[in-house]
Amino acid sequence: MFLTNEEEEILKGKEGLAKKFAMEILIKVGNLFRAKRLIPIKYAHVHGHYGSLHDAGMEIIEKFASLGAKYSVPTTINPSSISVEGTEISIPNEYAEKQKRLRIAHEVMGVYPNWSCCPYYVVFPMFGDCIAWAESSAVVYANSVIGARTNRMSTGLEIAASIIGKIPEFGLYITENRFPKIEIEIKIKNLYDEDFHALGYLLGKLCERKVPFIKGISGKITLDDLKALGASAASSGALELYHIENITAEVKGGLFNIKKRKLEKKFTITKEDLKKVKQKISTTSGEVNIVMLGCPHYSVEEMKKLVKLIKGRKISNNLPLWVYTSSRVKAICRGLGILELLRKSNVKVISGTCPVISPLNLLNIRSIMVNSAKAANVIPSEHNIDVAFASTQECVNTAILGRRL
Amino acid sequence: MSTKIKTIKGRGVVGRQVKGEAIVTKEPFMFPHGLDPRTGVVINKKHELFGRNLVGKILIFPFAVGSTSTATWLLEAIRLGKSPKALILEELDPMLAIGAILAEIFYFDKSFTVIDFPNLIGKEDSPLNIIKTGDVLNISGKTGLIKII
Repeated sequence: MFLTNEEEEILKGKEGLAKKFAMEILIKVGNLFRAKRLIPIKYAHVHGHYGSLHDAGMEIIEKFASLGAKYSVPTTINPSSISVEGTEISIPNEYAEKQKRLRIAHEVMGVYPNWSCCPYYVVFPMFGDCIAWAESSAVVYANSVIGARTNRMSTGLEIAASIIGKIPEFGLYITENRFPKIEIEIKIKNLYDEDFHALGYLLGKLCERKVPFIKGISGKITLDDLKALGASAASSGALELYHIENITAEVKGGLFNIKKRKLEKKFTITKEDLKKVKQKISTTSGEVNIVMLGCPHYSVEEMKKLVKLIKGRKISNNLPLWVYTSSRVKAICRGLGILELLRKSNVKVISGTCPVISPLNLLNIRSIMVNSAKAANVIPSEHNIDVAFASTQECVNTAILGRRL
Repeated sequence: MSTKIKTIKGRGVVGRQVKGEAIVTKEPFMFPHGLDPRTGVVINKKHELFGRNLVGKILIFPFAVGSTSTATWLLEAIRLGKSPKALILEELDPMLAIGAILAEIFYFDKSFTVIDFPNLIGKEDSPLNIIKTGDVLNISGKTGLIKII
């Protein structure tokens, strides 16, 4: 890989040990994946939850902080293993202490403490910007919905990239790798919220690592629908980028001419396919102990929609409904009066953590109802808890009734 | 012919010269919730190696699957001395690569070694088809050379 004089100097340690280590990481990754050079990034998004970083991840992040490392570009952070409120799960002291050490290390380096899987509600990359984001659902959103460019980062690479402000140029930083490879045709008239989750789940399985071009989606489609679609696909099959005809950024931005692209095999998805997927996502059809919404973190619009679905009714005492979001979105909802309405309906709004990475096993529950295919995909293996996947409407109705219909 | 091959040349990713016993699987391997970092035992019930202890072994598999926490799950096992001694795989992904690189920089004393075979993915002379479970290997993370002893 080609290095500028400045990069060579950093590698020799002229700008300190922290930058030297960070540069070593970037160069080794660059050489392994045959990058020709390092390119500048505008934003970074890092991991900071103890639940999957373990002591090893914590030690390395603390090492960087103690060596005086600073994030050189605006750097947001994924949810913590512990919520801002800190009241919904009783966390053992040792675990809480380690999450705190991680928080302090990141804050010393200058992180924006948004603690959310949706950095795009806090920082705003533009079409064509190169960024280094960890968190698979944010990566697919940035690439597909915004048209910014990022590979899926593992812990360590995104930190090194933010410290140096650069990333090796490979994968989705290269224009040709962003072109669609396979065609997917949707033969369904109206898609509702759970359909986008199920569709994403299926896409992840069908596409393997190939970029899909999706045709046939008609009707209204919201940013939240696209968020759900990408999050599910990234979870079920590591998808990093998708294109939707007439909708997503690079299709509209004219990055490629679809007529000139030779696409591989064409998959057709019908209503029947989605129905099968929805059944497959759940691990239980029996009773559930709690309903959890907000994977990925709820947006202000999704919070509004939740209020509309609840219609002033009260959530049952024996089947709680928790919704996860960022403290930023929670603050906006407070200003809009939404938080007060949700409080009156007994909905618990939790910020800064999420069902996937908080220690749910401490809750002593057997099954959770979720409206997220990603949550349903991860929770059983992460926490050894069963999941029931349902529409947001069904989730709300179940929590109000206090049992499944 | 393949049974007579005693030396295979791959790409040295990280590590040094190590010797150990091979465990071969043709199934992709998942580190997050797949390997218990505190014991080194395979905890993924869906995997054919479920229940096997991989501490000090050389694990040979096609590629890794799993979330972005692949690197730190592996690193935690390395930190605790409960990881395989080395990994030999066909296709290295950026998640696993970072785990290996961080191990080399921050846990150098553990001499964790990785060799990959980007040119032999799915091919007959891939190490997956040549090395057998129980073979004793002498491998170099610097040169990528694997000797079946």
